[in-house]
This record gives sequence, C-alpha cells and structure tokens, in this order.
Amino acid sequence: MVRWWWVSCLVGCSAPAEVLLAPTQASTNGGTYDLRFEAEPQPFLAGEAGVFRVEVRHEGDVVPSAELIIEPWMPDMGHGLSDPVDVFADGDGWHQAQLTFSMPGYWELALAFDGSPGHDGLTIAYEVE
Amino acid sequence: MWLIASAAYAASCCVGSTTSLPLRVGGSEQAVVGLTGAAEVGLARWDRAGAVVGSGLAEQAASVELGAGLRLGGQWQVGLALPARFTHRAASVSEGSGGGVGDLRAAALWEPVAENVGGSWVPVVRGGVRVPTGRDWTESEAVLLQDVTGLQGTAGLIGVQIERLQGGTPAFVGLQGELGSADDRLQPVLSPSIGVGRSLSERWTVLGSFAWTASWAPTSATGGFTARPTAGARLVHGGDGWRGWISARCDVPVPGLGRSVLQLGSLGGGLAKVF
Repeated sequence: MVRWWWVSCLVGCSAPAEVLLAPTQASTNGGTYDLRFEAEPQPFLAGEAGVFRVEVRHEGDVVPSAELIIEPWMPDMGHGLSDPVDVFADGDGWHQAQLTFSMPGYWELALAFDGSPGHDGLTIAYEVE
Repeated sequence: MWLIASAAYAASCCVGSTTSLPLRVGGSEQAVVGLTGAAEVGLARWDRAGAVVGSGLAEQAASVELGAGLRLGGQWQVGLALPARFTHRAASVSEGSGGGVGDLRAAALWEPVAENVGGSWVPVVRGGVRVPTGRDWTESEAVLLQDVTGLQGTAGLIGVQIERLQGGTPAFVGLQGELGSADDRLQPVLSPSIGVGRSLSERWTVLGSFAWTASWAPTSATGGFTARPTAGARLVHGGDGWRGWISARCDVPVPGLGRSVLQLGSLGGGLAKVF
C-alpha cells in the first residue's frame, strides 16, 4: 500500500493531461529524466510474458544508479497485477522487466524513478490484446 | 437474486415478484430459500472506445448462489445471498482455473405501499451491505486472475424502483447503486434497469429485462469506468411451496453501450422452497 501511494504520488500529483500510448521516448513529468522505451512483443498479449525495457538518462548522461518501480494498472477496472513487477538494471542505464498482463484491454504503467538527480515519475499506456 | 449485483456479478436485482423473480418473499409468504446456478461464457469484449472487438482472453465460468429471504412484517423483508464462482481462463500461452466463495450480500427491502390486487404501480426501496468474503484481485495467486471471486472492501447497497407485480403483466423500472471503497478511494456502481413480463397461466410467468451497469474504478489519478448492457429472460414456474426457473442472459453487443469489459452470455436456473 505504501509502495502504491509513493508511486501514485510521484506519477499522479503532476500527471500530464494525456497518457502516452506505447511511446518510444518521453520525459518524466518533472523533466528530470529522459526515457527511451522498448517493448516486445507489440502489442503485448494477455497471458504471455512480454519484455519491457526503459533507458534512463539525465541531461544526456545515463543514470545507472537510478532505481525504477513499475506499477501496472488497469484503470477502467481498478486492478493491477497480483504479483509485484521485478525490475533488473543492466548497469548501462537500461532497466528491464517481464510483464504478464492478466487480460486484454487498456493498461497503464506507472513508472517511478529514484536516483541522484531526484525523484520523478511518468505514466504510459499499452493496449493489450 | 433480489439483492443488488456488483460489477463482478452484474445483474438487475432488487426487482421482481413471487412469480417473476423467485427469491423475493411474496405478500402471503414468510420465507424463501433457494439455490441458483449458471454457466457463463465470454463472447467478445468492448474496448475503451466502446467498440466491440475480439477478446484475447477466453473465459468460461460456473456460478451458484445460495439465497434466502424472510418477511419481518407487512412492509419489510430481509435477505442474504452468498455466491460461489469457478472460472476457467485461457489467453495466449497461459491457462488455468480457480474459484471459491464470493462476496456475501445482506439487504432489507421496504415496500411502503401495498399493491392492489388488480395491479398498481408501487415503490420499493432496498438498502444493504456487501461484505468482502470473496477473494479480491490483491489476494489472487493466478496469472489471469481466474481465482478472483469478489471485490475489495465493504460496500453499501441502495436500490429504488417502481413496480407492478400483480396482474397479467408484471413490470418494473429501477435504479440500483453500490458505493464501496478500495485503497481509501470510492468505487461506485450504478445500474438502471427495466423489465416486463407476462403471466402465461396461474403457475407460469415469463420476464424480460434490460440493465446497464456502470462501475467506476477505485482510483482518482488515472481512473476510468466499465459499462455493461445486459438483456435477460426468465421463465418461472411456481406453486405447491416451490418455485423453479430457467434463465438466459447476454450482454448486448452494441458498440458504445459497453466499455472495457468482456461480453458475456449465460444460461442458468434455480429452485426455491417457499414457506
């Protein structure tokens, strides 16, 4: 619960008006981090493990020490995934997670970053088939 | 069956009579105890824009519900309903089954005006509570959430309707609501419904109904809602201290009427003892 609150605050308190759908790049809400995304397969398939990767940069430099928490959420139904998402950093600024969405539809990923440049977050979305 | 439904068990309830909706305690009855069952299958889904699209998730489910009603006096009756649900889901490379006891519902029904023998429109008010005795999504151990049988948190139930149950053409127009909370955020459900039936004989009644159920998700920052239009038909046989019925329900596959839910169809039936 505390974890969800923390992610919600980082992402929701300054949430943009529009949630980006399957973006390839974006900046966090406060502009602290620049992000590049990779997702495989596209679209994600319900019940099948997919790979989500995000590169974290600050002012052009990778931030290998940044920590990332991912909270999947199906906003229309009010539920997420029953298991927390494990995120692995590969040391060169990329973070990787395996995601298995429980059902097709519109899913959001609340991303919360914590590193030496500061705390910041962003919500992006995917259509799962 | 006369208790209000949740998003997980969407149905039009709080409505009906001793013949058209069989778990309602009739005016000359003291109590009803019954068991209903249904088999359900996923047909398609509505996406977020309200379009009807194919679903990557295949779902079959079986549900049973034990219900009871007790008349306390001329204008009041109380009731309990305890469902159980067993679901099989398959999507891509994942597949599994799960289930168990759902959320307990308890409610009181107030009929302030007695209906004329010939059939007159009268109001009915219902209030109650949904207790989270089922397994909600946070307690799920299944990848496809097929073991989820209930919703988060306790919820209050309210329903009002006008109805005419005597005579040859029973009918009702109602509005049901549910207000619960999850993670300290409100989760409302609203469901207007309408139904009309026909008495085929002293013992046989057929009833058709339509309900549109909207459920708002318990989140404020990135929240949305689901919507489900459901049509149903029920054939009820009553008499000699027993009632039996068969029913069919189907979400109406009209673009724009639904949103972000699976489209379901079901067949069911039930048996009740009347005292």
